[in-house]
Amino acid sequence: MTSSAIARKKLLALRKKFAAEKTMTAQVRAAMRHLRTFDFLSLEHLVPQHPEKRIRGVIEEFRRTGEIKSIRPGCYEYLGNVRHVRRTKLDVIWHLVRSHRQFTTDDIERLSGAKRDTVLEYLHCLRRLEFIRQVKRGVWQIVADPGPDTPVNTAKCARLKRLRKEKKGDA
Amino acid sequence: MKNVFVHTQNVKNFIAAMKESETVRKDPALLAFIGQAGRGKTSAAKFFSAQNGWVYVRALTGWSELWMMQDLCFELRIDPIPKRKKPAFEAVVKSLRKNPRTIVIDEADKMDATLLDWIRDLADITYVPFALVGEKLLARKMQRERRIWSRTLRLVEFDPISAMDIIFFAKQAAELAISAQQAEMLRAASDGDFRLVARDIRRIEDLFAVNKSDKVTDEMVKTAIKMGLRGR
Repeated sequence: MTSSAIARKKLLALRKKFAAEKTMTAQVRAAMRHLRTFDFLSLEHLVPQHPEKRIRGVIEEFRRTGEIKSIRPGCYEYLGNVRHVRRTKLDVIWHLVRSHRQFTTDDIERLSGAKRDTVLEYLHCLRRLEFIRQVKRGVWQIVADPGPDTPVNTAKCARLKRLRKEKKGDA
Repeated sequence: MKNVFVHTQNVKNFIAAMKESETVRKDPALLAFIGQAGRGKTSAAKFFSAQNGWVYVRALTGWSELWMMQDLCFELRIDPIPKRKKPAFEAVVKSLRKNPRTIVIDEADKMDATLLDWIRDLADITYVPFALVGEKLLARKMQRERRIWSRTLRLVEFDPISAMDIIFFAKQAAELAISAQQAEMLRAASDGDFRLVARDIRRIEDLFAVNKSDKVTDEMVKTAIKMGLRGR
């Protein structure tokens, strides 16, 4: 196999690996984490399935939150997910879910300090994402552990996005 | 009854030990939290790990050195996870040096002397606090190895729940004021097991509501304890 064929094979494997992430933001984040230092073109090369505008949007958002920093015009360095520093209730809930093999809603509510509605909403989100299953009412079990990064409640994000759009349309 | 995590004396001792480990920056810090089952060790470990973003891993029966390192790599977001001991160890060290985080290892009494030595090495090199949680066997294993015991900053034993803890818990969780004598009755009946105490307090709360009384009576406490004995 020629070196270009090997490089192409590696590139396809990387693209497949990043595309396996659940959301577009997660895919771009995974590509950034892999590259460490990157420009727009090198990033787009790894996630070509997404339009330029959306990738640029993610870069801008990450720069704003401090997850990446600009080292010179057009060139960035990936610093790490700032959510690790600012822990939210969902981070705490996910940490507790992972540390238990089987747990109840009461356990998570007590140990997280979050409101019961928040706990239930997120547990159902995790169930839909097939990370946990409901053994019986109020009892859950972890079935797949993707790691310490808190899964995003994509259904809620989509719903909020739709509501914002409707609000904009009304205004 | 409110579903709250109550800070008993054991939990306060846990917090004090962890705070002490954070101040010791230039020395390796191993901490051991031991006690019988049902004393709240795992609950405290999970609660504080989740709230503070510490790494929480559970020791497994048959855990080998490589398996342990790979589990730590997974928790530290090291990707790809190395397939051999040396690269896995080096990856964990690199990650902890770059981003120091407390590591909590639950059920650590399952670890053998070799695994404890690896933890000692990690603590020596990274200066990150390692909190080992387990039953009394853990303390004996650590004391057997002088190298490990000399690096142990604190050994905290989780005692049976005390009457003070019960008074505090009843106030926080159920907004009930119980006397020291009533708390002692509950403590004696539960043999220091917090789960049994929580159940009894719930029953007292129900009896208090049903009787529409203005204070908790000894009779209510005795009834709640008696109800708990059913089916044992």
